[in-house]
Amino acid sequence: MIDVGVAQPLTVGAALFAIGAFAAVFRRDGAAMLRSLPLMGAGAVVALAGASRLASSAGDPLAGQELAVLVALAVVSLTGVAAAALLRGSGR
Amino acid sequence: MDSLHSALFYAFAAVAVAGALLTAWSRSRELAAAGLLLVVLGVALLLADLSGGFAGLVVFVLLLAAAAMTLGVPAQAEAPLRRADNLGAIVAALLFATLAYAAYRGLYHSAGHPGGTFNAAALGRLLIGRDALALIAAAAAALIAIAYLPAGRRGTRR
Repeated sequence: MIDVGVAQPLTVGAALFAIGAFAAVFRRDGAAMLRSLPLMGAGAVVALAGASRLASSAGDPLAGQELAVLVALAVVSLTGVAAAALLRGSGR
Repeated sequence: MDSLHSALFYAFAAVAVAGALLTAWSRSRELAAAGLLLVVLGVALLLADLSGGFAGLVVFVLLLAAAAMTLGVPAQAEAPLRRADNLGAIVAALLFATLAYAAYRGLYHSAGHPGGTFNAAALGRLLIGRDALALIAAAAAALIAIAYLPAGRRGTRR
């Protein structure tokens, strides 16, 4: 079993972010593009939590987890605004 | 990390990545919803495995709310793919290659975790004590977005 270092969470986060970016640029449907926002946010969250667990400084070991929570809040905000804009656009 | 946590990490990572691929590729709303649920569940369990139980719980609730918001938007007819759209796939692949290269080849400080698996009190002290302004700003933005959503729904009924 390969031991988990800081590279593994960063790679998983990169994969989730890249899949989200792929969905955002490749799909032509607004709803499908909107679904890429939580995917990219999830990638950022995993990378931050992994760095917090495996490569943080002793003085501030939970800063990555704190940032992960703030990023998740930002994802909710962005998704809500984008969903409302898409709904308004489809109503016209 | 010990063997059990390493094995769990790879299992949860596989669940999250499989869910992301399902979300990105599926054209059916139900499959996309299932994929998003897998991603949110996988990410929350990954965070719990990385000694962030409380952060995992909060992220689970927040990403689930974001996923539910995306599923409220009706699907539109997709325009046929043009040749230039393949560029998006190449850019996404290059993005992943660059990030993975940075993850494996970068020189990172390696440190032991001070302890704790749930860390609710410590994280709460950081969010509400030290960085309260950041939390208030992010929460206010989320509140505005949630309040703006019904206005969008009214726009569709007109």
